[in-house]
Formats: sequence, structure tokens, C-alpha cells
Amino acid sequence: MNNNDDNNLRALIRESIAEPPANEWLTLRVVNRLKRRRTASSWLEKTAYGLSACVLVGVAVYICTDQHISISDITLWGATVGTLIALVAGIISDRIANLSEPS
Amino acid sequence: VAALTKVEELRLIARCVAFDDHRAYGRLVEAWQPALLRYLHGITGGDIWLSDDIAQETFVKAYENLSTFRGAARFSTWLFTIATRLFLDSRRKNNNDMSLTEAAGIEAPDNGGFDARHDVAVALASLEPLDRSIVLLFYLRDLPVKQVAKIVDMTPGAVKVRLHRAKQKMRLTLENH
Repeated sequence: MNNNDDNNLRALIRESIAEPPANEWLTLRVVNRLKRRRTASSWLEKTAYGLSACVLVGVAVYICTDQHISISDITLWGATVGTLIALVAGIISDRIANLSEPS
Repeated sequence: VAALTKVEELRLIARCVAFDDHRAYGRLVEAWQPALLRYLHGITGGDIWLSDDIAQETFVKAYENLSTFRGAARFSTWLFTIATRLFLDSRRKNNNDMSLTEAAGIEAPDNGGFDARHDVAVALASLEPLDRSIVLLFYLRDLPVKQVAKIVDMTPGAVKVRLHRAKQKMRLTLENH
């Protein structure tokens, strides 16, 4: 076959196999089948969460065993709880964002 | 669906790899599914259910292995490689490719006369699955022989030989039809 035949065959094949219209159901089905992977960011998030929980327990033990509670103890306690709440809020908002993905 | 530039494509892939961003992947699926389905319709002889299944499996498999994508080739080449291998595997498992014309519902035109579309479909169906993939990657996707060879995991020389034989077989089928 020469180039002319090649071009004819190319044109015939392209004509005989039409491009189907975009199928949004296929996209949805694919996205729904994707599994959540453990990404670097999720590992970082979980490590930070675990460390904060350890610090929180440590501070609670320290305060409970201390004879007198000072202003700095309360500030430390507040800062730790605040950090923990911020982390939990971050995780929850992430989950909500995932739920709002097309399904 | 607007085609993606290579930069947009890489940005979306990076989002998928770094943040497991399913929405970004949805954009890639939207952008590439018409071309992939067209190719799959061609190699399956117009079997829309099989094409759909392979397309879904291709996109899911591509996502699962996205971290291994190096970005040197286009994302589409990678997709077509996965799709071609899935198709060839399904043919090997079923081993009933002879009934392709029948299964795909390629019927003779009502007027009994010349119908180029029908004849090309029959000529394509007469080829072995691997040859059909090679012919469609070359003529429909317009990929160079070197890239086709990478997709089907063969040497460029072997692809050229198969392409030549496939064209001869198609010409014979078209002449006899």
C-alpha cells in the first residue's frame, strides 16, 4: 500500500468509528470506584494528631499531679486543647469535603 | 469537553498523587474518555458494554498506579497502553474472537450495496486482536510506530511487519466484500 492508500484507509477508519459523546456516568462510576490512598499529607496529619494527643495527656497528668495550678498551667492547657480542636476540625472538614465529591 | 494541555494534565496528575484528589482525576477522565472509548469501540468491534467495562477498568487501574507515572510520555499514551493490555487479556481469557462480528452486531447494510463503514468494520473484525489494536493505534490515534511498539510491548520492526500484514488482510477483505 502506498501513502495514498494509507491516507484512504486512515480516512475510512476514522469515518467508520465515530467519537462517542462525553459520558458523564462513566466519569462518576470511575470516581466512585477510586479508593482513598494514604498520601503523604494524611500521614503528616495523623502523626500531628497523635503527637498532640500525647502532649494533651502529658499536660493533663502534669496538672492533675501538681499541688497548685498556676496561670501558666491553665494557659498551657488551653493552648493544647486549642491545638487539638484545630486538628480535629481540619480532619472533619476534610471528610466533609470528600463527602461533597460527585457520587 | 475541552482538551487539556500537557501542563494542565501534569498539574491534575500532581494533585491526584499528592492529595489523592478524586475531583482532579474526574477532570482527566472527562477529558480522555471520548478518545479512549472511540479506540475501544474500534478494537471491540463496536461492543459498547465491553468498551465501557474496559474504559472503567483502565481509568481505575491508571489511578491506582498514578504514582509510577513518570510524565515523560503523555498521560494518554499510558492510558492507551493499559486499555490495550486489558483488551488483549480479555480476548485471551474469552478466546472467542472469531464471533466478534456477530457479537458486535455488525450487520450488513439494508440496501445490500456498498457501505464503507460496514466494510471497514468487517475488515477490522477479520484481524487478530493484537493487529486490530496496532492498526487503530496507528491510523485512528495517529501514533508513530515507535510509540505503538511501546504500547503493545513489541519492537518497532515487529510492529511494522504486523501493520503491513494487517493492511494486506484488510485490503483482501475489502476487495472480497
